[in-house]
Amino acid sequence: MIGWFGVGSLVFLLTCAIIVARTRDLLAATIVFAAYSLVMAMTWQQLRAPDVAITEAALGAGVTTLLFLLAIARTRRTEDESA
Amino acid sequence: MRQLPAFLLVVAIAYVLALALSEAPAFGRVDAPARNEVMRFYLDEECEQSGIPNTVTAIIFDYRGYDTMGEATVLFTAVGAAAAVLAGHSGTLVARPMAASDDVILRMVSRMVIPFVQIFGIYVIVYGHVSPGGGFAGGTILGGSMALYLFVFGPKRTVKKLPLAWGEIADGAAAFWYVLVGLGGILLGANFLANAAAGVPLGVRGQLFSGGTIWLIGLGVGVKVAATIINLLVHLAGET
Repeated sequence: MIGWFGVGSLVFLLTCAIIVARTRDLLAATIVFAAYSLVMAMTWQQLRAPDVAITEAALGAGVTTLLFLLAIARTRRTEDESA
Repeated sequence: MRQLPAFLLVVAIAYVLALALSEAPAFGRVDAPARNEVMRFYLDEECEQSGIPNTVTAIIFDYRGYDTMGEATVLFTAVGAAAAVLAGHSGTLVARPMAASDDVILRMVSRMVIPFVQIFGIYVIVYGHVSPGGGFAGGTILGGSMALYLFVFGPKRTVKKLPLAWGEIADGAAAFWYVLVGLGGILLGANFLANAAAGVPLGVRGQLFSGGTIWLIGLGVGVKVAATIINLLVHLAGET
Protein backbone atom coordinates (compact mmCIF):
# COMPACT_ATOMS: atom_id res chain seq x y z
CA MET A 1 0.00 0.00 0.00
CA ILE A 2 2.68 2.48 1.07
CA GLY A 3 5.49 2.58 -1.48
CA TRP A 4 9.14 3.53 -1.03
CA PHE A 5 8.18 7.22 -1.27
CA GLY A 6 5.71 6.88 1.62
CA VAL A 7 8.23 5.00 3.77
CA GLY A 8 10.89 7.63 3.02
CA SER A 9 8.46 10.43 3.93
CA LEU A 10 7.53 8.78 7.22
CA VAL A 11 11.19 8.23 8.16
CA PHE A 12 11.88 11.90 7.30
CA LEU A 13 8.90 12.99 9.44
CA LEU A 14 10.08 10.94 12.42
CA THR A 15 13.62 12.32 12.07
CA CYS A 16 12.32 15.89 11.85
CA ALA A 17 10.10 15.40 14.90
CA ILE A 18 13.03 14.10 16.98
CA ILE A 19 15.28 16.96 15.81
CA VAL A 20 12.62 19.56 16.67
CA ALA A 21 12.26 18.09 20.14
CA ARG A 22 16.00 17.69 20.79
CA THR A 23 17.60 20.81 19.28
CA ARG A 24 18.33 23.76 21.56
CA ASP A 25 18.44 26.38 18.79
CA LEU A 26 14.90 27.75 18.47
CA LEU A 27 15.46 29.15 14.96
CA ALA A 28 16.80 25.81 13.67
CA ALA A 29 13.87 24.00 15.30
CA THR A 30 11.43 26.35 13.52
CA ILE A 31 13.02 25.71 10.12
CA VAL A 32 13.01 21.93 10.65
CA PHE A 33 9.37 22.19 11.72
CA ALA A 34 8.57 23.95 8.42
CA ALA A 35 10.28 21.12 6.51
CA TYR A 36 8.22 18.64 8.56
CA SER A 37 5.00 20.42 7.56
CA LEU A 38 5.97 20.44 3.87
CA VAL A 39 6.64 16.69 3.81
CA MET A 40 3.49 16.14 5.88
CA ALA A 41 1.54 18.01 3.17
CA MET A 42 3.01 15.65 0.55
CA THR A 43 2.00 12.70 2.72
CA TRP A 44 -1.58 14.01 2.98
CA GLN A 45 -1.63 14.27 -0.79
CA GLN A 46 -0.36 10.68 -1.08
CA LEU A 47 -3.21 9.61 1.22
CA ARG A 48 -5.63 11.29 -1.24
CA ALA A 49 -6.59 14.17 1.05
CA PRO A 50 -5.75 17.18 -1.16
CA ASP A 51 -7.87 19.58 0.93
CA VAL A 52 -5.84 18.81 4.03
CA ALA A 53 -2.62 18.92 1.99
CA ILE A 54 -3.26 22.49 0.79
CA THR A 55 -4.15 23.66 4.30
CA GLU A 56 -1.11 21.92 5.82
CA ALA A 57 1.25 23.48 3.25
CA ALA A 58 -0.17 26.99 3.71
CA LEU A 59 -0.82 26.92 7.46
CA GLY A 60 1.80 24.50 8.78
CA ALA A 61 4.74 25.37 6.53
CA GLY A 62 3.78 29.02 6.01
CA VAL A 63 1.87 30.90 8.67
CA THR A 64 2.92 28.84 11.71
CA THR A 65 6.59 29.25 10.78
CA LEU A 66 6.11 33.01 10.40
CA LEU A 67 4.37 33.18 13.80
CA PHE A 68 7.25 31.33 15.46
CA LEU A 69 9.85 33.47 13.67
CA LEU A 70 8.12 36.69 14.79
CA ALA A 71 7.87 35.42 18.36
CA ILE A 72 11.59 34.51 18.36
CA ALA A 73 12.56 37.86 16.79
CA ARG A 74 10.59 39.90 19.33
CA THR A 75 11.56 38.12 22.53
CA ARG A 76 14.92 37.65 24.21
CA ARG A 77 16.12 34.33 25.51
CA THR A 78 16.84 34.04 29.21
CA GLU A 79 17.34 30.30 29.19
CA ASP A 80 19.32 28.46 31.84
CA GLU A 81 21.96 26.62 29.81
CA SER A 82 22.86 24.26 32.65
CA ALA A 83 19.38 22.71 32.73
CA MET B 1 19.32 4.86 37.18
CA ARG B 2 16.80 7.52 38.12
CA GLN B 3 15.47 7.43 34.55
CA LEU B 4 14.92 3.67 34.50
CA PRO B 5 11.23 3.74 35.65
CA ALA B 6 10.44 6.40 33.04
CA PHE B 7 12.19 4.37 30.34
CA LEU B 8 10.28 1.21 31.31
CA LEU B 9 7.00 3.19 31.29
CA VAL B 10 7.73 4.52 27.78
CA VAL B 11 8.56 1.02 26.52
CA ALA B 12 5.34 -0.34 28.05
CA ILE B 13 3.20 2.41 26.46
CA ALA B 14 4.95 1.91 23.11
CA TYR B 15 4.22 -1.82 23.32
CA VAL B 16 0.52 -1.22 24.03
CA LEU B 17 0.30 1.33 21.18
CA ALA B 18 2.03 -1.05 18.75
CA LEU B 19 -0.32 -3.82 19.83
CA ALA B 20 -3.35 -1.58 19.18
CA LEU B 21 -1.92 -0.45 15.84
CA SER B 22 -1.38 -4.03 14.68
CA GLU B 23 -5.12 -4.64 15.19
CA ALA B 24 -6.11 -1.56 13.18
CA PRO B 25 -7.65 -2.19 9.74
CA ALA B 26 -5.39 -1.54 6.77
CA PHE B 27 -5.59 1.77 4.89
CA GLY B 28 -8.55 1.89 2.50
CA ARG B 29 -10.04 -1.46 3.61
CA VAL B 30 -13.69 -1.93 2.64
CA ASP B 31 -14.72 -3.13 6.13
CA ALA B 32 -12.90 -0.37 8.05
CA PRO B 33 -14.96 1.10 10.94
CA ALA B 34 -14.77 4.60 9.42
CA ARG B 35 -16.63 3.31 6.38
CA ASN B 36 -20.06 3.40 7.98
CA GLU B 37 -23.46 4.73 6.97
CA VAL B 38 -22.46 8.36 7.67
CA MET B 39 -19.66 8.21 5.12
CA ARG B 40 -21.87 6.40 2.61
CA PHE B 41 -24.60 9.02 3.08
CA TYR B 42 -22.23 11.90 2.37
CA LEU B 43 -20.61 10.22 -0.64
CA ASP B 44 -23.91 9.06 -2.16
CA GLU B 45 -26.29 11.93 -1.42
CA GLU B 46 -24.00 14.97 -1.21
CA CYS B 47 -23.79 15.70 -4.94
CA GLU B 48 -27.59 15.56 -5.29
CA GLN B 49 -28.32 17.65 -2.21
CA SER B 50 -25.75 20.46 -2.42
CA GLY B 51 -24.82 20.22 -6.08
CA ILE B 52 -21.02 20.52 -5.77
CA PRO B 53 -18.35 17.88 -6.52
CA ASN B 54 -16.12 18.60 -3.49
CA THR B 55 -17.71 16.67 -0.62
CA VAL B 56 -15.31 18.13 1.97
CA THR B 57 -16.34 21.71 1.17
CA ALA B 58 -20.01 20.67 1.17
CA ILE B 59 -19.67 19.20 4.67
CA ILE B 60 -17.75 22.21 6.04
CA PHE B 61 -19.91 24.99 4.57
CA ASP B 62 -23.31 23.30 4.22
CA TYR B 63 -24.00 20.25 6.41
CA ARG B 64 -21.77 21.54 9.22
CA GLY B 65 -22.16 25.25 8.42
CA TYR B 66 -23.11 26.06 12.00
CA ASP B 67 -19.88 24.51 13.34
CA THR B 68 -17.84 26.46 10.80
CA MET B 69 -19.45 29.68 12.01
CA GLY B 70 -18.20 28.80 15.51
CA GLU B 71 -14.70 28.24 14.13
CA ALA B 72 -14.81 31.64 12.42
CA THR B 73 -15.69 33.12 15.81
CA VAL B 74 -12.61 31.40 17.31
CA LEU B 75 -10.42 33.30 14.80
CA PHE B 76 -12.20 36.51 15.78
CA THR B 77 -11.44 35.82 19.45
CA ALA B 78 -7.77 35.08 18.68
CA VAL B 79 -7.26 38.42 16.95
CA GLY B 80 -9.16 40.19 19.73
CA ALA B 81 -6.90 38.62 22.36
CA ALA B 82 -3.72 39.47 20.42
CA ALA B 83 -4.89 43.06 19.97
CA ALA B 84 -5.83 43.39 23.64
CA VAL B 85 -2.41 42.13 24.78
CA LEU B 86 -0.15 43.72 22.15
CA ALA B 87 -1.79 46.86 20.71
CA GLY B 88 -0.26 50.04 22.09
CA HIS B 89 2.30 48.06 24.10
CA SER B 90 5.02 47.73 21.46
CA GLY B 91 7.50 49.31 23.86
CA THR B 92 6.91 46.80 26.65
CA LEU B 93 8.10 43.79 24.65
CA VAL B 94 11.76 42.92 25.08
CA ALA B 95 12.95 43.33 21.50
CA ARG B 96 12.33 46.27 19.16
CA PRO B 97 9.63 46.19 16.44
CA MET B 98 10.57 44.24 13.36
CA ALA B 99 12.61 46.18 10.77
CA ALA B 100 12.41 45.89 6.98
CA SER B 101 14.88 43.63 5.21
CA ASP B 102 17.57 45.32 3.06
CA ASP B 103 18.34 42.17 1.04
CA VAL B 104 17.96 42.94 -2.69
CA ILE B 105 17.32 39.32 -3.71
CA LEU B 106 14.61 38.93 -1.06
CA ARG B 107 12.90 42.17 -2.08
CA MET B 108 12.94 41.48 -5.83
CA VAL B 109 11.85 37.84 -5.56
CA SER B 110 9.02 38.54 -3.13
CA ARG B 111 7.87 41.47 -5.30
CA MET B 112 7.59 39.06 -8.24
CA VAL B 113 6.12 36.11 -6.30
CA ILE B 114 3.45 37.86 -4.19
CA PRO B 115 0.96 38.64 -7.04
CA PHE B 116 1.00 35.01 -8.21
CA VAL B 117 0.54 33.69 -4.67
CA GLN B 118 -2.42 36.04 -4.21
CA ILE B 119 -4.03 34.97 -7.50
CA PHE B 120 -3.61 31.33 -6.43
CA GLY B 121 -5.18 32.09 -3.03
CA ILE B 122 -8.19 33.76 -4.67
CA TYR B 123 -8.48 30.81 -7.06
CA VAL B 124 -8.47 28.31 -4.18
CA ILE B 125 -11.16 30.35 -2.37
CA VAL B 126 -13.60 30.83 -5.27
CA TYR B 127 -13.10 27.33 -6.76
CA GLY B 128 -13.16 25.61 -3.37
CA HIS B 129 -16.43 23.83 -4.18
CA VAL B 130 -15.20 22.44 -7.52
CA SER B 131 -11.55 21.58 -6.83
CA PRO B 132 -9.61 20.84 -3.61
CA GLY B 133 -9.35 23.79 -1.27
CA GLY B 134 -11.93 26.19 0.05
CA GLY B 135 -12.27 29.26 2.21
CA PHE B 136 -9.86 28.20 4.96
CA ALA B 137 -7.04 26.98 2.70
CA GLY B 138 -7.35 29.85 0.20
CA GLY B 139 -7.62 32.45 2.95
CA THR B 140 -4.45 31.08 4.52
CA ILE B 141 -2.59 31.35 1.19
CA LEU B 142 -3.86 34.92 0.72
CA GLY B 143 -2.86 35.82 4.29
CA GLY B 144 0.50 34.13 3.79
CA SER B 145 1.26 36.33 0.78
CA MET B 146 0.59 39.44 2.87
CA ALA B 147 2.71 37.95 5.67
CA LEU B 148 5.59 37.62 3.16
CA TYR B 149 5.20 41.33 2.37
CA LEU B 150 5.24 42.09 6.10
CA PHE B 151 8.43 40.09 6.62
CA VAL B 152 10.32 41.60 3.69
CA PHE B 153 9.17 45.22 3.72
CA GLY B 154 8.51 45.64 7.43
CA PRO B 155 5.38 46.51 9.42
CA LYS B 156 5.55 50.26 8.62
CA ARG B 157 5.07 49.80 4.86
CA THR B 158 2.56 46.98 5.39
CA VAL B 159 0.36 49.19 7.55
CA LYS B 160 0.67 51.94 4.93
CA LYS B 161 -0.54 49.51 2.21
CA LEU B 162 -3.20 47.86 4.35
CA PRO B 163 -4.13 49.96 7.41
CA LEU B 164 -4.89 47.91 10.49
CA ALA B 165 -8.40 49.39 10.60
CA TRP B 166 -9.13 47.98 7.12
CA GLY B 167 -8.02 44.53 8.19
CA GLU B 168 -10.19 44.70 11.29
CA ILE B 169 -13.18 45.93 9.25
CA ALA B 170 -12.68 43.05 6.77
CA ASP B 171 -12.45 40.63 9.68
CA GLY B 172 -15.67 41.82 11.28
CA ALA B 173 -17.53 42.28 8.00
CA ALA B 174 -16.72 38.71 6.91
CA ALA B 175 -18.08 37.32 10.19
CA PHE B 176 -21.19 39.49 9.80
CA TRP B 177 -21.52 38.30 6.17
CA TYR B 178 -21.58 34.67 7.37
CA VAL B 179 -24.46 35.44 9.76
CA LEU B 180 -26.28 37.41 7.02
CA VAL B 181 -26.09 34.44 4.62
CA GLY B 182 -27.40 32.25 7.45
CA LEU B 183 -30.28 34.65 8.13
CA GLY B 184 -31.12 34.49 4.42
CA GLY B 185 -32.20 30.90 5.01
CA ILE B 186 -34.69 32.07 7.66
CA LEU B 187 -35.98 34.83 5.35
CA LEU B 188 -36.66 32.18 2.68
CA GLY B 189 -38.73 30.19 5.18
CA ALA B 190 -36.29 27.45 6.21
CA ASN B 191 -33.67 26.94 8.93
CA PHE B 192 -30.65 29.13 9.72
CA LEU B 193 -27.93 28.55 7.08
CA ALA B 194 -30.29 26.43 4.95
CA ASN B 195 -29.09 26.02 1.37
CA ALA B 196 -31.05 23.87 -1.08
CA ALA B 197 -33.76 23.30 1.56
CA ALA B 198 -34.54 27.05 1.43
CA GLY B 199 -34.89 26.98 -2.35
CA VAL B 200 -31.54 28.61 -3.15
CA PRO B 201 -30.79 27.77 -6.83
CA LEU B 202 -27.87 25.32 -6.98
CA GLY B 203 -26.83 26.05 -10.58
CA VAL B 204 -24.98 23.63 -12.85
CA ARG B 205 -22.68 21.26 -10.94
CA GLY B 206 -18.99 21.89 -11.60
CA GLN B 207 -19.40 25.52 -12.64
CA LEU B 208 -18.03 28.54 -10.77
CA PHE B 209 -21.39 29.90 -9.57
CA SER B 210 -22.95 26.72 -8.23
CA GLY B 211 -23.82 25.16 -4.91
CA GLY B 212 -26.03 28.00 -3.63
CA THR B 213 -24.84 29.54 -0.36
CA ILE B 214 -21.64 27.42 -0.24
CA TRP B 215 -19.92 29.80 -2.65
CA LEU B 216 -21.00 32.89 -0.68
CA ILE B 217 -19.94 31.43 2.67
CA GLY B 218 -16.58 30.27 1.26
CA LEU B 219 -15.88 33.79 0.01
CA GLY B 220 -16.61 35.25 3.45
CA VAL B 221 -14.48 32.66 5.26
CA GLY B 222 -11.59 33.26 2.84
CA VAL B 223 -11.62 37.03 3.48
CA LYS B 224 -11.95 36.39 7.20
CA VAL B 225 -9.00 33.98 7.47
CA ALA B 226 -6.73 36.24 5.37
CA ALA B 227 -7.65 39.28 7.48
CA THR B 228 -7.15 37.31 10.70
CA ILE B 229 -3.63 36.17 9.73
CA ILE B 230 -2.39 39.59 8.64
CA ASN B 231 -3.94 41.34 11.67
CA LEU B 232 -2.37 38.84 14.05
CA LEU B 233 1.08 39.15 12.44
CA VAL B 234 0.97 42.97 12.29
CA HIS B 235 0.07 43.09 15.98
CA LEU B 236 2.97 40.73 16.75
CA ALA B 237 5.42 42.64 14.54
CA GLY B 238 4.81 45.88 16.44
CA GLU B 239 4.37 49.46 15.16
CA THR B 240 0.69 49.50 16.10
